[in-house]
Amino acid sequence: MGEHLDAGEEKRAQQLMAYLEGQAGEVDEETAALADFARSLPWERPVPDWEFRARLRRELLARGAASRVRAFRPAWLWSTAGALIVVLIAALALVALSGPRIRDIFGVVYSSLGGGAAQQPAPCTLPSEVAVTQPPMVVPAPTPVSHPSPTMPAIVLRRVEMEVRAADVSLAVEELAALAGRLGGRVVQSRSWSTAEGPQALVVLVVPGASVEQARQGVREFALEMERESVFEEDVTAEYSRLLAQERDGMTAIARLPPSAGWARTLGRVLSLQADLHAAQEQLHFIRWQLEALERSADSVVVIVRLR
Amino acid sequence: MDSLPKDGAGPASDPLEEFARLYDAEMPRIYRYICYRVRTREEAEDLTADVFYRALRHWPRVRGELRSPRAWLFTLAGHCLVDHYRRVRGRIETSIDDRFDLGDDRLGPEETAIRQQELQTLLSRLTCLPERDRTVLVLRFVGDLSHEEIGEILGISAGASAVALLRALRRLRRLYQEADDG
Repeated sequence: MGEHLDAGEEKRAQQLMAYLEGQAGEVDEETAALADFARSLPWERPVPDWEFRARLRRELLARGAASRVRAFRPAWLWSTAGALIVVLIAALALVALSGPRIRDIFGVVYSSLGGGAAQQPAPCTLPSEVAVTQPPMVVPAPTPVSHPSPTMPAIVLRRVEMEVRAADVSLAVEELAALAGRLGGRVVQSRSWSTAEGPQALVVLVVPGASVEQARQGVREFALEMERESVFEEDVTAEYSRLLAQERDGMTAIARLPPSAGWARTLGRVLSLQADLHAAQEQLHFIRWQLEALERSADSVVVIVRLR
Repeated sequence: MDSLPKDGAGPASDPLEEFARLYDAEMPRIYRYICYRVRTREEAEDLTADVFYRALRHWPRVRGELRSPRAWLFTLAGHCLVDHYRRVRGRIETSIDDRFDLGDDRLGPEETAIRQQELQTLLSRLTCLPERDRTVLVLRFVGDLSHEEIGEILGISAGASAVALLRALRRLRRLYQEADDG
């Protein structure tokens, strides 16, 4: 590490960690300030693209399965098998090209082993071909974008934006949190900062759709002045229908996958099938998650309050 | 993660299945970490794939010996990043592209712009820090790694990792203060 660790520094570091994790304990002013600073930083958490994640998983498993199949066929096995085949071919060629004497010798040996007349060998019959039946390849059909059914209620996301001048910004932030609690909602984001004009804050609430008017009224009550108030609506019924269609297709694709991988003749194929199934299940899970998120969002309203 | 994630049926015995579970559990975290260290989403995706291909190659040999598979993956990610920086000749950019889905929420354009600005500032300040500080901060606050895991990645004790984080935070805060004062 190269950095000297003194006991005091180590203790302070432990206190900082405990404080950051919300564990109560006494900390000095500097440590508390440092923890607050760390918390205030915008540590965004990017999420990998869903398709990329599923594709990489499939590729990794296919590669892993392929390398395992290779490992099951070591080089020595191939070289031994190859040598045996060469010897066998050479022996057959020798028998075919040599005179009747050698064939007679073979015939005597064959007869002595109870194989019947050596002169009239039974006609060679090839075993009938083993029928290998394979189920049809499952190729999920492209998802049709279905239009919303006329009977489906519209799914509308609503957002209210308010810019408010408040007598005391920090008090107003607390009042907003209390208001959200009273209405059965919650604060999803709260930020405060200082400008030359004075303190400002941004509070984002999520309240049940039925309580949106109460939420707006609640904000108006403590506002010195309402500078702006807008309501935005976004109809996502088409998106919802599309996801429903994708869900249906996903379930069909999973139902079409072979119930067991017993027909697959190679380990690689078995694992590839398992990977397909897993990917399809994950895809379905993701679609359902999106559907639920839309349903939840439609049941509630986002209220963004900018305070000055 | 001291052991592989379990699904209630005990640890998987099949190495490939174990690897798949490791991938499912850790891939988003590795991707997140890499996003803070590269310039574009494509680079982040390519490097994430590199990490897991390398991991897959070594997995059958090392899987029984690992104390923390997560720390091992982050170590591999560090190696991939070093190789990557060598290729791009150490260029580190702080611009924010679509790898941070900042516009993907219910906030308006103004709030998104504020968040973008704040993140841009953070990324710029991070690049001014020593490599070790940057790594510790991102591992802790973006990767959510414990100090035991960070210590294992950096080859130091958990206590030393905590102190490293404390010092890195101090330096980062000083950078913010200097910018505010100046």
